[in-house]
Amino acid sequence: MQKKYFGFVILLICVLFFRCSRHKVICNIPADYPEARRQQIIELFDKGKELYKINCSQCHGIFTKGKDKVPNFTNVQMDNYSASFLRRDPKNHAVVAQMSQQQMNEVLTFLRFKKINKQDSTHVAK
Amino acid sequence: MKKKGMIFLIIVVTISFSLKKENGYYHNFYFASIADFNKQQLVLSDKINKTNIFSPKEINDIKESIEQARLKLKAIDFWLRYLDPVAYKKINGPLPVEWENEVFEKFEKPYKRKGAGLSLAELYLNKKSINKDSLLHLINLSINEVKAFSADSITKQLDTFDHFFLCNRLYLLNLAAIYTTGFECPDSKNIIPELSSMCTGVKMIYLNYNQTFPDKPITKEYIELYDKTIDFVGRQPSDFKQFDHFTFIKEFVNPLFAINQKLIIQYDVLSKNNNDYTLNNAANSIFDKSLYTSQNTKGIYSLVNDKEALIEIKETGKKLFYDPILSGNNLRSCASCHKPTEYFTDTSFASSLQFDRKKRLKRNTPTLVNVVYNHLLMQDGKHISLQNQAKDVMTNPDEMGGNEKEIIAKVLSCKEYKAAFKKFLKLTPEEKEVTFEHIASAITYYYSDYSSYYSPFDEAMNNNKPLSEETVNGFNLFMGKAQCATCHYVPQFTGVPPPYIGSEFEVLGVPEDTAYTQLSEDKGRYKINPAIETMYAFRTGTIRNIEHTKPYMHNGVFNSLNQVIDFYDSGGGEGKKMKVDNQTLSPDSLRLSPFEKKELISFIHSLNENIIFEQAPEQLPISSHKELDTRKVGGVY
Repeated sequence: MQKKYFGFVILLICVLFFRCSRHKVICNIPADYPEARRQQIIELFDKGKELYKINCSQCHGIFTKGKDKVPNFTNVQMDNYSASFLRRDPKNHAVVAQMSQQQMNEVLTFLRFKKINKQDSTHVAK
Repeated sequence: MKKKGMIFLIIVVTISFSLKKENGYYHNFYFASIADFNKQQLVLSDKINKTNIFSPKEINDIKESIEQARLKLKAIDFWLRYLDPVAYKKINGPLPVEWENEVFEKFEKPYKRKGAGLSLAELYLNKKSINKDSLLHLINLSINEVKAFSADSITKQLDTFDHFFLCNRLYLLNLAAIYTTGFECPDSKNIIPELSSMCTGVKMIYLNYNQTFPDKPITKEYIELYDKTIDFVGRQPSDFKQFDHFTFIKEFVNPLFAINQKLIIQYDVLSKNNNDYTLNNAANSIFDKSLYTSQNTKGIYSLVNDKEALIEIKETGKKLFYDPILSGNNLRSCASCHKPTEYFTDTSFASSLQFDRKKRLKRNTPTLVNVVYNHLLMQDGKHISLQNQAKDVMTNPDEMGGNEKEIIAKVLSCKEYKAAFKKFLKLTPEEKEVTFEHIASAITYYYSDYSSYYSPFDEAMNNNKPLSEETVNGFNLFMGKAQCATCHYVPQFTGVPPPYIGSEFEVLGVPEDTAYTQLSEDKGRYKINPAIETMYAFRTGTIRNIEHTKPYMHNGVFNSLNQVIDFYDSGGGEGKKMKVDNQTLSPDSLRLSPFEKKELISFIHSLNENIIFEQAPEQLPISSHKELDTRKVGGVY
């Protein structure tokens, strides 16, 4: 009886874990990166994710339970965006114009190292 | 059906042709002016080619030819300097080798740029032995580089009106800061004639522009004032030492700048050029402190907008500034060396004590007032952000001798700090715990407030407040005869030239002592960026408030402004007969009279800002560790 109950709980945890991890945006660092660099990126990635969630995801992506999805920006798009950030392009998003370079770096690290969504591999910014 | 198609085609073709024609005036003028300049350069190179003996007569002949080419260049300087500043250095570079320290170096290492072109060729002609090929090489590089300005990537910018107002802005800033000072002009007798030729040349650009872009014209108001400017320059004596820089900037350049800024906003001008990186479109005067931004003072709190929260951050920053808890032995605070009531510097010593309380630091404590207008910080440009600089001082074993982890733990052991930072942590949701960055950013946010005050000189420029004649003469000396403004650029009078994207370093040959027995051993910029040119180079500091920030120079060797001016007047270290291989200051004497020095100092005093200083906090937050509670406000030494 108890054994059965125990098994059921484990099954439940597994299902929950699976559901959560399935759509979570995860960090995808190439295997040949040294460990120190890897740690550094993960740290930036987590901060960038949080910043993205608060400041960008209302329009670009979804962050609800188990359904996280962030558009795949191409490298060219991100390079252009970062250049226009540096240039303080007045047509930039207002929130980005306010960010510090460190914060922008975190957001870009998040976008560059997040695992690519298979379903829609291109995202056209509005 | 076919007929309709044909008609459509014809319409499209005519429209496209007519559109081209509309752009024509301006485009044609651009290409014609550049061709004109290049033709003059080819004449010059031909002349050098035919010369075999460099006798004084031939040299003079070539110099004249160079001057002809320079005049043509000045007419198109308006475009070249903005559209491709890198290529411009090959056409009219001021130095054979320059280390660029631009903002983008925040992401890249400093890079080397070799100069060439007319200025360097002219300087080369003054040398004792002249090699024809070297001389030709300087000109040929320039001839080659001019081609860059016909490239599509550059000329396509001419299709829209945007670039015009941005070119014009840079032109006006340069009129205020460098064109009248002799920067990039080896022969000072040509400064005013060149300025005059430049002003009339640019008028032609304006007229051609207005013909091609009638929808977004440069207004009549502007052109009228500009005509008066040309008139003013024409009436000025041709000797640049007599030129009235003060009236020129106050009555003409600055109001023109204001109109141009208004037009930039009105026409919604879009920049695609790195030259505009730091400039603020909303600043209506060159002497507005918001003209450009170079440092992010808020650091980690960048996204915080809540006014109350910001006030709280500032208050916490103030307490931390005075709190020796940030040092290794709890006896030293930021305020130990940067005394907030003494313009955030220490006027009593050439350099402050080291952490061990025995030795002295190698360099003088710089003021924190107006540091926010520098791109690179420290006298050797080691740091790119205020926060990194603050963190470095706290952890430097010679200065505050702290350690990151210990500092955070000690700060959080105080109930008051802990509550404050807990609140701030909520404002920075990307961070999981209080970091060193939180502490450093609060400090930088606190002291940067003191950089927003104005001086009587600014008031005169911005609000027409009167200045004494002595002061105005002093400013004219500063810009002209005394050559100060070739390195201390308007409006911050620091080493950041328009378009305000990089900090400059200079080698002056500062002595170890006032007897000039030897050169100061400090290698300066060389420690950060080792190169022949950077040996003994230091970042050019600001002139603002210097009456109150003695002693002077990187090692604090001079105790009075008179000594400093005498040092420059005699041509720096080399002029004082010391051996300096790479001095960037001319070793010739400026020949300033005692009366002129007095006027110069009067101008310098008019740059004292009316800063309102606050009192130190009465007490520091109480810590849960008893041994920390004996600490004194502002530290002990």
